[in-house]
Formats: sequence, structure tokens, C-alpha cells
Amino acid sequence: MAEKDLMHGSHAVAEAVKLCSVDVISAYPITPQTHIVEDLAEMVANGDIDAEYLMVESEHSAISAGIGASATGARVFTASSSQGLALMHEVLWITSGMRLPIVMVNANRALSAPINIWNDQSDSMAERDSGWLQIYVETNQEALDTVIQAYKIAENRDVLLPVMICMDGFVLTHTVEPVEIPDSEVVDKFLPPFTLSYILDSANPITMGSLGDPSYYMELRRQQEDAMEKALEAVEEVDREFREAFGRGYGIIEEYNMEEAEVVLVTLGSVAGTIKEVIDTIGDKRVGLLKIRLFRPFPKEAVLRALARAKVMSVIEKDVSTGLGEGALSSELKGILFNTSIRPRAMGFVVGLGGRDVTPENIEEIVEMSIGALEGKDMPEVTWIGLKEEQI
Amino acid sequence: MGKEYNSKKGEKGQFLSSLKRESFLAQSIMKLNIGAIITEPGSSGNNKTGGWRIFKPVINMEKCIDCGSCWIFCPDASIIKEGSEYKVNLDYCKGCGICSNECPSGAIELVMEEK
Repeated sequence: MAEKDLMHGSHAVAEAVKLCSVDVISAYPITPQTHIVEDLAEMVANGDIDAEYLMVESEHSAISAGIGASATGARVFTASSSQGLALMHEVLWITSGMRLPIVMVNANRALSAPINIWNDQSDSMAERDSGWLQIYVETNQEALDTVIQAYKIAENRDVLLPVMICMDGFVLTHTVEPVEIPDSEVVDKFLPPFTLSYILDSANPITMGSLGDPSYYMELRRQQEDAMEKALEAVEEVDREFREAFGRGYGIIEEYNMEEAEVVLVTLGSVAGTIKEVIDTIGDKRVGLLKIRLFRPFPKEAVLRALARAKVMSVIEKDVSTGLGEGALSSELKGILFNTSIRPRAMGFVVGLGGRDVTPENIEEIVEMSIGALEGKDMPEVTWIGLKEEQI
Repeated sequence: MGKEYNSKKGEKGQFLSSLKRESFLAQSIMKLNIGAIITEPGSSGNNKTGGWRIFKPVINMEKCIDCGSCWIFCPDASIIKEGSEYKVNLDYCKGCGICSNECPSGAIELVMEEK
């Protein structure tokens, strides 16, 4: 029987990695990801996982060694956060370009300067064009389950792309929640052993990471885009299969109180939990939540369906594209609406940068402003919530 | 021949190079493996990179003293030694002109390609 226990999000991730029978763990510690890799190092040292744990000197090396391992056909896990993810940047593009199904958990944390170890989502948002799938999770259980799902998605032969699971640092990684650990036999059945069709093998030499001159490069990029389209189907299919095997599923988006909603709050990650609480408290049918779980590939059709009746679209996000003055999700949503007849009033809310708490009161303020816009009041296009303007 | 080339500079020259580029793109049609994997070892020679070239080196055998400077200095092994003679392998020559620059007897001229 599957056990249920209280645990930190980080430990839930380590348990998932153990269940996935990974061959290689290549990672460098960074707050708030540290105890994911600490737990894994302990599991390897105790013989609980039959994997190589690669001690590397940086995140750049962590993902590079992961590429080498994956190219030999190994199942590879890595984890990082913030500056670590930023240091991986160029190699993230190489991973996806080489079509290696590596899975990473990114413990979302703000980027320096000023140095800040707390949660926001600027780090993974800055990697949104890197060719990795991105899935934003809301709970520790979802983090565990998504690691298992991620390997099955990444290793789909029509996909073969790396997956980044984005998990709010501290808010999830360091928070204790009840988590059910699935039976390893069921996971083994759900996630059979995998190897790539072509691997690094001295008996059958091949070239990986070759030059792609101007006569090939565009086609190879387009292959990646096509694989992302297949990934969208694969994420939904794997989630359905997961629900059958384990009784839980998450979808590519989640709609909450959306039946009659005219104000649609849109967000990513753990803050969805706070928003649901506020929606329940205020009990206003006009206010619903659209949570984007799958951010890359972007689930355009599902999002457009969810927004079809929206009169106000309030995007709540923990990142800002400095110089544009709004978050990335805000811009992308307006972009996908542009060629449709769906025209909600678009409002952007920048929240929780650098670990600033996002409280129910903050959400209530957003709801109030959004209802104001619904009733025809003049409202700002972008608002930084919880900002202490007197300090600027 | 150098003078002849100079008189053809301008519009016609650009036209020729764009024609050459199109034939180069057409020649490289093949199914690409996922992740740009190359499964045939030692197959890089199949990529005829000479298509990058605008000028080709032409060796005047009457002036050539068989010293081998062009062969030594060519950065892409595009000068081939056949017996005591040196020839240009145009499949890979990119027309950089180093051979012509290094030739002590002025036997190598760079000529705008006509084809």
C-alpha cells in the first residue's frame, strides 16, 4: 500500500526521484534546493538508490555532466534554483537542442542583485525560451507526482525534450504537507526502463552535438517546436494515465469557480492555493481562478477556452520583465488573445518578488480592483501589490 | 585574370553568388536526425563546404615551383598533393586566399567563380 506521511516538499521530490529509478544524479547545492540533493546524496550513500551521484563544481557542470550521462542512455535527474539555474543557461539550450530527456526540479527563487534567497519565479521565467517543458506545481504531492510524470513525458519518443518542474522555493520546498508515496511496483509499471535510440557507445560511434550550419539549423529548431506540440498531447495523456494508476491528476490548466466567472484571476504555482482560499471566503460567483500548470508548451487552446467569457483578466505573477513593466505571463496572455475576439480588460499584478509574502489580504485587494474594472472604473494596467512606495 | 574579375564587380557579382547559394541549399537536402545526431562515423566529408566560397584559387603551373607553401598553409586541407604537383580541392575550399598570399612565386590567383 502507498504510504502517507508528513514531509517537506524537497523530501517529496527526493522520494519521487528514488521511485523513478534514475541512473545518474548530477547537481550542485543551492538554497532552497539544497535538501533535495542532500536527501538524494544520502539515499545513494545508503544504497537506497542504485545511481551515480556526481559531485560537480558548479551548476554549469551539473547540467553538462547530466547531458553526457543522458547521451549514454542513462535516466538523469538534476535540481537547481535562481543563480544556479542562470549559470546553467547556455547548457539548457544544448540539452533541449540535443533532445535529451533530463528532468530537473527548479526551486523557484529570486535572482540577484540584491542577493536574495527567497521565492519568486524570475529564475524559471528567464528560461522560458530555452526549449525545456515547464510545469508549475502547487503542492508537495503535485511536486512528487510531477517528477514521475515528467520522465514519462520527456521519454516519449515523439517528445524527447527536457522537463523543468518549477516549485516555489520555501513555500513548498521547506513546508511540511501530507504526501502519499506511491508503491514502487506501480511506479515501475507506469514508468518502464528507457533508453535513447542512439547513445554514446564506442562500439557504434555516432556524433552528438554536431555543427548545424545555416542549411540545417532552422529545420532542427522546427523539429523542436514540433516536438513541443507533441509534448502538449503527451502531458495530457500521461496525466490521464497517472490518474488511472494513482487516482490523482492535475491537467494542463486548472479552473476554479469558473462556471459564471467574469473576473478571471490567472496565476502559476503555489499562490493558487491562497487564491482558492480567498475565492471560497468571498463566495462571489463573478470571480474565478485559471491556474496555468503547463507553461511550456503553452496550452493556448485550453487557456482561450477558459478565458472565452472573461470580462476582466487579472494576471497575478511573481516575476517582472524589467523594462516592459509587467510579468511575462501577462504579456503572453495578451499575445495569444490578440488574434481572437476575446477581449477582457487585461490587468497585471506583480506580487511576491524576492519572497515578499502574498497574503489573502493582497489577493482581496486584487479582487477588489478587478471588480472595480468590471464595473467600469478606471484602473491601472499594472500594479505592484504590497509595494512600500514610501521606501522608493 | 585578376583584371577580368575586377571588371565584373558589382551587380553581376552579387547575382552569381546568390545563384551559387541556392544551388548549395538545394544540394544539402537530407532527412535530419532528431537532435542533429550523425549516425555515420567519418561522414563530415559529405558536407561540401565549398559552397561558402566566392573566389576560387587558380594555380598557374608554369609559375609554380612546387615548394608546397600552399599545401602547408591551407587551413582546410583543400590543397592536395598529386605526385609533385599541387591542386585545389574545390569541394571544401572556402576561398580564403591564404594560399595565394603565401605563394612565393605569385602562382596562385583568386578568381570570381563563374558557375
